[in-house]
This record gives sequence, C-alpha cells and structure tokens, in this order.
Amino acid sequence: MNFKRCKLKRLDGQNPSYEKNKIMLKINNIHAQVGDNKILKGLNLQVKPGEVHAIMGPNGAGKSTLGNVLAGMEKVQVTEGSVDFLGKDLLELEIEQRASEGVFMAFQYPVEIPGVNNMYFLRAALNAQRKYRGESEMNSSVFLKLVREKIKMMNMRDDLLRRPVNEGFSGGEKKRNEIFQMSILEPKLAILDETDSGLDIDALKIVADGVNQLRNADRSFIVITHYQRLLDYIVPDFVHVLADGKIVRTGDKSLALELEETGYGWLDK
Amino acid sequence: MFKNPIDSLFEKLTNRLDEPVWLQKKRRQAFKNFQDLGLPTRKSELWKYTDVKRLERLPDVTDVAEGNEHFVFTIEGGLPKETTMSNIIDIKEANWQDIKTDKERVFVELNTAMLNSGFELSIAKNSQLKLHIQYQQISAAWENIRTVINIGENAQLDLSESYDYDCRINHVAIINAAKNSTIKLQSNKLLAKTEALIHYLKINCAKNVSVEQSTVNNNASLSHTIEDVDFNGEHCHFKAASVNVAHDSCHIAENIQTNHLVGHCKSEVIKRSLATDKGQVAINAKAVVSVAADGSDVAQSLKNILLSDDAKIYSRPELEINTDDVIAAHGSTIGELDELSLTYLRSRGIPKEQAKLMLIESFLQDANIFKLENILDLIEL
Repeated sequence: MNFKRCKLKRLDGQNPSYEKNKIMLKINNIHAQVGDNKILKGLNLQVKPGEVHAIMGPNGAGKSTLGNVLAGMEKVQVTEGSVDFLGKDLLELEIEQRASEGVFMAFQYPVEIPGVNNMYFLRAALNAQRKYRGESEMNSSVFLKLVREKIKMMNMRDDLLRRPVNEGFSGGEKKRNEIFQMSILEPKLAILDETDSGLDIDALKIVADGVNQLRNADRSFIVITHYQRLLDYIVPDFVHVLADGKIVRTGDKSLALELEETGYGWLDK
Repeated sequence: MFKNPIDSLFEKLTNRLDEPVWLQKKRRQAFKNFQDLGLPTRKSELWKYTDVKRLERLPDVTDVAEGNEHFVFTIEGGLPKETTMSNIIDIKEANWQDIKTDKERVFVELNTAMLNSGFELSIAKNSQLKLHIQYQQISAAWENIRTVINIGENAQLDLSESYDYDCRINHVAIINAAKNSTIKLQSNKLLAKTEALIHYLKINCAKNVSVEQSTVNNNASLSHTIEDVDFNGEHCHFKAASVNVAHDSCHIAENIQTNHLVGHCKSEVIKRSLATDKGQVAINAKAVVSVAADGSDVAQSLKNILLSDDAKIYSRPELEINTDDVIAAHGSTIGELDELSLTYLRSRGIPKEQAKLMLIESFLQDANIFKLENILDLIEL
C-alpha cells in the first residue's frame, strides 16, 4: 500500500480553494446519532456548485447517516454542528422545506406506496415545490410534456408512471425512478445514497447516464457508494473516505481506484 | 329516550294516532318486545364496543316526533310506469314485513312502536329508477323512520341517500330485490358530532341479484348500523364498501352479516376506517355460509388506521362456514400511517398534511367504489 503514490491530501473535507468561490453546502463539525448510537463525530465538508463529491468508506462509517442528516430524516438526531445550504441553516428546515430549497435524496431503498399513482405523486411534489418558491402551479398538459421528455432520458417504460409509486418495480426500475424524479424536480443538490446497489451493469449505466445528463455548473452531487465502479460512469471531482463518523481522506478519482485495490484495512493502522 | 319517559311517550303517541287497529297492535306488541328485550349491553356482540348510554347523553331526547314530511325525494325522469309509492302508515297489513329481532336488534322494535314516518316504494319489473332521498330531521325529537323498497324482476335501482347533518334518527330499512334485479346504493351519513343515527338495514336477495353498496360514515356521537343480507336465490353478487371517519369523541359502529342461505353467491365486504382524536370505530363483518350453500365465495377486508394515540378501533372479521365447497378470505389490520411512506413523500417537497392526505386517499381507494371526489374533505387532521 502506498498512499503517497496517489498524492493524497489530508483535507478532512476542507479545501482552501473553495473559499475563492461561492459555497453551496457547508457542513461544519456535525455530530449525529440514531438512538444512542453516535455515528457522525465531527464531520466537515464543503461543496461548491457543479461539483460531484463521492463519499466512500467501510460499513457503519456513517455514509448513509450523512445523507439522512442532509435530507432531514427524523430518525437521525443532530447533536452538534451546523449545515449551511445556500445561506440557510438546513438543520432548521423540515424535510419538505429542504426538498423545496433544492435538496434531493435518491434513496438506497425507495419506498413502495400502494395506491398513490406515480404521476399524481410527481405532479403534487413539483407543484408543492413551485408553491414554496412562490411560482405558479404547473398545469397538467405542460407537466405531461415535461414527463414525456424526461422519461425518454431514463429509458423508462411509460406504464411505470401510471402505476403506484415503486410498487412492483424491479430494483433497477426503482433506482431509475429516483433519478427520473430528480430530473423532474431539478434540485440544486442531489444526494445519491448507494444508488448503484442492486443494479446490474446495464441498469447502472442507464442510471449513471441519467445523472450525467443532469450535471451542470449549478447542480452538485454527493454520491454515496461502496464501489468504485459507479465512479467509472459518474466521474467525481472529489472522493472522500468516511470512517468512524469523520472524513479521514480526500482526493480525486484516483483515490477510489486505490481503495478498490487496497480496501479499508489501512484505516486500522 | 329509553328510560321512564318512554312509557308516557309511547302512550302519548298511540293515543293521538288515528290509524288501523292492526298497526296499533303491532306497535303495542313491538313496545312490549322492546321492554322485554331491554337495551343492548356490552354483552351483546354487536354492541360490545358501543356505549348505548351515548344516546341518553344526547340533549332533548325525551320526545317523539310526529308527522310525515321527513323526506325529500329527487327522482330523475319521474317514477316509472306501475311503480308506486305510499306512506308506510297507509300500507295494507298484508304488506307489513316483520323483522326477526333480538337484543342486538332491539331498536327495530322501538322503531315499530314509535314509528312516525316512512314509505313503501315498489319498483315495477323491467324498469329503472334513479332516486335520491334526503332523510330530514324536522324537530329536536327522535325520528323513527321505516322504509321499504320492493324491486321488481329485472329492475334497476340507483339510490343515493343522505341524512340531515343534525340527525337523530332511528331508521329501519328493508330492501326486497326480486330476481335479476340490480341495486346501486350510496349512503352518506355525514353527521354532526353531537347527533345520532341508529340504522337497521335488511336486504333480501332473490336469484341473480346484484348489489353494489357504498357507505360513508362521518362522525356522530353515535352512529350504529346493523345490516343483514340474505341470499335466498343463487348467483347473487353483493359488494359492500364503506369509509368510516371518526373525529373528536365520535363513535361509529358498523355491523354487517351476509347470510349465504343458498349456493353460488358472492359477497365482498370492504371497510376502511380512520379514527383520530378520541374517535372510535367498531367494525363487525360476519358471513354465514349454510350447509346447502356450496359454491359460495366470501371475502372480507377490514383495514383501519389510527391517527392519534387516543383513538380506538375494534375490527372483527368472522366466517361461519358450514359446508365444504367454499372460497373464503378475510383479513383485518389496524395500524398507523406508514412513516416511511410519509417521509418519502415529504422528501420530495410535499408538505406533511398533504402527504398524510395522499396516503389516506390511497388507503380509502378500495372502499371508494363510486369514486366520490370530496371524500378527503371529511378528514380533519
């Protein structure tokens, strides 16, 4: 193992160059727990518009908890620290407010909701966000046009839209549906929580392709993953290693390749 | 209503009535039966979770209504030829239909004794009738209403009925469906939280009768329904769905028994109930399949959601199968709104209350068989 070879910097998520530009997301010394189990222990991270940050790390490191903290999942309790998102205190906002501010979480296990039609759900979500932002509601014909345009991008079958949310969807269809929702809602910050889990290689490519089409200078991504293979398709600007509730290493894409070779055994040394 | 004053009320009522001797006899016998049976108690299966004292707590219950202007009928296209309607007080003795009662159904006896309004509608065979009936509360006193609908062979009835918001009604309804008839029945029981409705419904089905029934119960200090459905002929198809919503301290009890007396009939009972605050819902669904009723198909689906810690729901599906060749399925669930689903909807920007309503709407979907658009307006979150 030779970490010098990939020129790692111990940044702990703090890159002085961020300060030159506007910062979209600033996570400062976050401590969080689920029940009595302390999971995040002083995590720092800054994300600028347009950047893709990959979060990797061993099981139980706190990767998904980080996503849950940002999305506002109530099961996670933040005990210390702050999260600034475009000048707002994210931790003060309810889940739906965060979504309307532009935070989107693509779930590792998308929930099946019997009886709630996918289209109805999406239109309700889009219009709720538009209302929050003081915009007028999107009428059904404009919405339908938007949906048709985006569904092609995700290579999804039309009939999935008419079915209840995620009900009876395969694993791949659920993940594609998450990215499809993202394409409709157009968030500023998307958190992909192990979106690659349970996907075969073709589905992975489709999902990654969908994400790449949504990449732009104003939209940032936090990609939580166990495996380097997703990062072959969604090339990150930064790779962070999360261990024991903190970011312990930060590097570029080559760090992911290194981890693929070496695993996380070095963390114990 | 039911203690000492009732004797004098009964006397007062019968003394002032000018009606046939046979009906007076019926009243007296029914009143005696009522007194002998006594009020239902917690030992009565269909009243096990219902406190009948809720009726006594209602204000102004110690009077009995009189008069006959208790309905508003809206008939689309008028009455079909040979279809008749008459005042229940004016019907012939031969047309009077006795109902077998017991302690559970004791209010049927009271209804007969104190009867003050009602009608008999006989729909001619091969005809169609679309009808709306509004049951009106004329005074603060209890109304005892009896309605009888006879549906001729091959006739079709599309009936929607609703009760006044300020309702204090003891309603006995009988529907006799001749062979090959079709019934679509929508009942809206949207009541004030202080009021009460006691409802007994008997449906007699001849061969090849199809019944599609949808009921919405919302609130009332006490809304108690007993429905008995008899399949007397083969190949009947009965589907009953109801949505029950109890807020505050309201109590809704729905009891339905389908009696498969002959074979090859299908009964499907779908109940979806919500209780919030200190609201209570009690559901009993029973199907009895007789020895001779091979080929019966029975399904009961009772699903319930508690929206608060103090709300209570009692839910009991029951099958009594006395023969071998039967398809039967029943299920009952009581739970809360699914937190994961709620969080998922909210994570897309949908406000919490709206997300709850979306989940409730999906929960009610199976029971909203007539696709009522304003059903969510009933929910107070």
